[in-house]
Amino acid sequence: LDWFLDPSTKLLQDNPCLTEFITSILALPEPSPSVLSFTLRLTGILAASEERFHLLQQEKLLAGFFGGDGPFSSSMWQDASVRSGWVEGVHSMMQHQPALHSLCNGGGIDVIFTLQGDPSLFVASAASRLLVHMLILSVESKTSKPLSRKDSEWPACALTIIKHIEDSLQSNLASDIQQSLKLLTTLFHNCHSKWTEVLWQGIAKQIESFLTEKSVQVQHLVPSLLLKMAWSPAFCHSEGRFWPLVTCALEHLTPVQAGHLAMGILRLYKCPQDVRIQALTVLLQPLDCILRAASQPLEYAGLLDESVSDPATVESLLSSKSSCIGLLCQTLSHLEELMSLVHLPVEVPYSSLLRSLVMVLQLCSGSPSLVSPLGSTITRNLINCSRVQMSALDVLRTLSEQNGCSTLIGSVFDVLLSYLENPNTIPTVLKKTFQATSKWLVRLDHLSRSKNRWQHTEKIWEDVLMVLQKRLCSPCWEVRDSSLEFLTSLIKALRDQAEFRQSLLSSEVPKLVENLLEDPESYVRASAVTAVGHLAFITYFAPRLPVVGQQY
Amino acid sequence: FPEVFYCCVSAPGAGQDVGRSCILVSIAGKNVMLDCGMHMGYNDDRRFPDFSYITQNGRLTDFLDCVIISHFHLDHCGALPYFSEMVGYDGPIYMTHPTKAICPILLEDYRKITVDKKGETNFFTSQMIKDCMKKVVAVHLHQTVQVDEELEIKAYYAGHVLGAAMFQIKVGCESVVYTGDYNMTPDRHLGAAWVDKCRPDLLITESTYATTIRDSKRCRERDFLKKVHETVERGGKVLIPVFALGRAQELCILLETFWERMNLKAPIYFSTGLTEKANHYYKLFITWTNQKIRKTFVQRNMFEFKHIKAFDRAFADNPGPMVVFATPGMLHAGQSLQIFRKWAGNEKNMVIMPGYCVQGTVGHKILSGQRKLEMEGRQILEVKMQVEYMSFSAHADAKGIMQLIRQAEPRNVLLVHGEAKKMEFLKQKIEQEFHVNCYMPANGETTTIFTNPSIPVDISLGLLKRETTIGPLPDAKKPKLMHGTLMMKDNSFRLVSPEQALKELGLTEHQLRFTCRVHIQDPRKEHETVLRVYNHLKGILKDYSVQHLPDGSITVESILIQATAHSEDQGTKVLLVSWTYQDEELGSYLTALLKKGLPQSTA
Repeated sequence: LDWFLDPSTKLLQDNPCLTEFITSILALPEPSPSVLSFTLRLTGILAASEERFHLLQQEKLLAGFFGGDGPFSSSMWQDASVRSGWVEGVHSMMQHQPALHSLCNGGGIDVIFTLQGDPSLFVASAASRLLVHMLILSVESKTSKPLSRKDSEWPACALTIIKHIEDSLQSNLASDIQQSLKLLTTLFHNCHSKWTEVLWQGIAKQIESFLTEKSVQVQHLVPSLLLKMAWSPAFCHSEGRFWPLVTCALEHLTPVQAGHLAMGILRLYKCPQDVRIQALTVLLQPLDCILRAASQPLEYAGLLDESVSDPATVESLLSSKSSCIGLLCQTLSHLEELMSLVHLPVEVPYSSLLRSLVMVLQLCSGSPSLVSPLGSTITRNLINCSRVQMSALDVLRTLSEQNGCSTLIGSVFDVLLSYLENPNTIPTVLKKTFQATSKWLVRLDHLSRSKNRWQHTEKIWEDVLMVLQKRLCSPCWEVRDSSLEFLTSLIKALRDQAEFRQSLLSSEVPKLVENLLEDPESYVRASAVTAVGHLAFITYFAPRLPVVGQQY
Repeated sequence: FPEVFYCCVSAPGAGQDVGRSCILVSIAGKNVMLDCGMHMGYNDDRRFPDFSYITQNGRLTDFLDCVIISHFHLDHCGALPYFSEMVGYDGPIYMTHPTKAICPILLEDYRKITVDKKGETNFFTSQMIKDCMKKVVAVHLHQTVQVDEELEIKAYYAGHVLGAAMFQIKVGCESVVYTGDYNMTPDRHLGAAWVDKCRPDLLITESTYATTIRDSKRCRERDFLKKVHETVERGGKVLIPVFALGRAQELCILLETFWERMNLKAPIYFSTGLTEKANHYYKLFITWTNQKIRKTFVQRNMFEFKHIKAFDRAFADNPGPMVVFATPGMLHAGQSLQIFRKWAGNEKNMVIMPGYCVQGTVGHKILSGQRKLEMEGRQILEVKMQVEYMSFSAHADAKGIMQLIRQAEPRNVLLVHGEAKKMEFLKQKIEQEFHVNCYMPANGETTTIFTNPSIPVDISLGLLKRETTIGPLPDAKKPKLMHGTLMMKDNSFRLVSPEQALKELGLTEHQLRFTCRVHIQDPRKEHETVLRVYNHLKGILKDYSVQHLPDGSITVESILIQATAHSEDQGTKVLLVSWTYQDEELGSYLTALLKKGLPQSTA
């Protein structure tokens, strides 16, 4: 089928066997579903050019597949592959007005409406994409785009689809509303023309009611819809009701749903600053809650001065184990994403964020146990939770590059070293710990070079190399491999640093790495080769260390 | 709490489409992905499942609780590095120890063909394969692995290939068994699949050979031996490209026995790379082979045969017939390709492809009928030798699938990985024989299965003692009704006495009493009326404690009856009946009784 995507118009004339093939399939009383599905796709591809479309129509081949005589009433329609072939065929064909008119006039559009609720997810979503494609094709064909809601300005096919969207949004059935919300999401993603805003005006109130009334369970689809709109020039500049609706969503959605929306907002280039601040507040709220639960009265404040939604909602999510882990993992992954943005559009309270991360990592390893009622529940929920550990370590790694984090460097290394030394740390968590440690050691190096040299640097190096020696001998190949990767990354970043070179060469590490060249696991051997290669920079090529008592 | 718990199965990959396996199971709030296979027919992004269908917003790591891989074939694990390193799934992945060891070899082979040979970009790298494998948690057979506090998984032997496993997924009292590919009859080097009578709510089984019956395997083997024999007889050479850890052992043993029986003299060779690799893994995972191999392995290695000897490069030019097993199986590089080039021009020779070939490989080209191949350096190689494809993959046939259902006794069966028509036949058979629902979802379809889970409730010892002392002695065979307050807290259920519930919840108790006035025509004095009522009740309610209290009132258990004269009509007495809601039944009975009036007494 991919081969037929070739745009040659003479394809049908040059290869009469193609029309013969289609005719023969149409003549079969009961073709096998896979053959029928293939033929539907093929016919659609062939009909994609207007010239070939007319040719096929003259031969009366299209009506048998996509027109009134289509396979809808046959028993083969029960087969999902046939329905999928039909939708894909129609989508391929839908490149020109004659195809659009022929389908709309032949009643095919009702079939597509029905297929939106198909039991096969693939067919349903293909039907939804097809409707969007048809709507755009229909409106964009007009030289003057509709600027108001007046029916006379819209082409007939577009009107039918819009009417369908509006009717489904009014429905009592969540599934109908969901279909329309998904369709709108795809539409606003694919089309940024001005007319989409005109369409939106007619349904904005209805969407807002889904947020405030919550009588039907469709809120989870709203974040994606709003984000697609926010990326569209048709909406993001609007003075109208769009941004207030986003604010309303941040307030009314559940913390998990709002988190997704908030992260999307923070990635936008164009967005009102107050909405951004509100989005950041939503993202930080769970960690703020933990910090407050952890701190003795007035010891230190949380992360936030005020919250967007009711803090009790977040607290209740944190008190149940599964929702606590789910919410934290999501928050942490969003924060990691946020930290990796080149340009951060808002000010982040780095030092409190770092404190909360260290707290989360400590809670996961069982210390300290918190005294407040919420605190002790959170402690119980987080202990030994590797999912949260991994997500928190990812954020911790990205934070090493932020200014304002140096004051807490001592506690960061405390927690990292405790993870590295703990024999119960699982390999996947250990790998992330190594990655974070490597970044923070580079940070430590920068700090050491500045005037206010931190006094514990030497001790940290000693501890790190000690634990590295131990981990290089681990019975678990994943751990040995991560240890070697850690060493390589350190040498890459710090090979010119005298203190590091000295500690490394005076340790057992080089010898152990050499031994790993004969490791039974090939992955470890390969990593050992890389590590030894990098070690050579230090052992052979690096400037000799000054020797006490010059011999020359 | 909800009366209905359900689990859904959706299949982005598998499900009536032999291509790739990728099934999503939601069971009691946990989401598990079963296999992460690749479609071998595509050479662009479509070869991988479209994971955006799983969750449109939110990370897969947050949505999925774990990924389970059944065995090392690429249509079951080929998309794993893409999923974990490029799509970004960062959670746990489970597979058996042999699968974890062998899987990266296949993935690396496949990567080499796709990237190094065909120059495709946007594909996973060696580093990604390694990083992916480092996330894998290897499991032992029959070891219960606790994924988290609620979700546990357990692997069962599946035969098929070295390390293949079926998995039981269990949350609370709900469970699903996923078979992956399996084989219910032991073959020459692997054992038969086995699962205990775990009565899962759902059994998801492959149905590749849904209508085939066992004999077809014998036929294929006979066919294979006949073809090899004929070629050798007419002086031709037979090349069998194999994957070292696939069906090579099986075919070697098959030929060895045949040669012995027919007393054939033509030499059989296998390439040395094959034996080293295979011996290494079979030694490592000897417990996964069948009993016979295990026994003989103590004396000799897997490739010590009487008729089959190690191959030397120079042998390829020897005159006369021979049979050679060589790696790799898809003729994309190495020894098998070298031999193929030498022998391809002679029509007396034959190449037998016993497995699947990826697009772009020489194996795939000759299987799709190409007879002129462009080799490296623009050389054209004309293929005159015979080309045969024979699948020896070991899948359960219809009989085997039925046998497994009998073993596991599932409440529902779901068929995947087969053709719709064949599956329909099997579905009817299963429904008839086992009286269970059988589903066969289309690609992308979600199946919802309703279960009736029994929910464990803790009962306090005090309440248990109190309840057992009341009423007749407990009969172990009959269910007993317990009265108490059901408390739901932190996902657990407890039945406690009402007093304790009040104490724990810090609530005060309110007594609710029903009262009812009954009018009786009786001109006598009040205390006489009371006495008549007392005698009447005493006579009827022989099993209850009926008392006449000194203050003139009557009690029947906790029900109180007092009589007063009507203020306006002295001939009418008003009986005030009052009872607690616990005694509603008796209270209503008494009022109804009194409303009928008193018997004409002689007292």
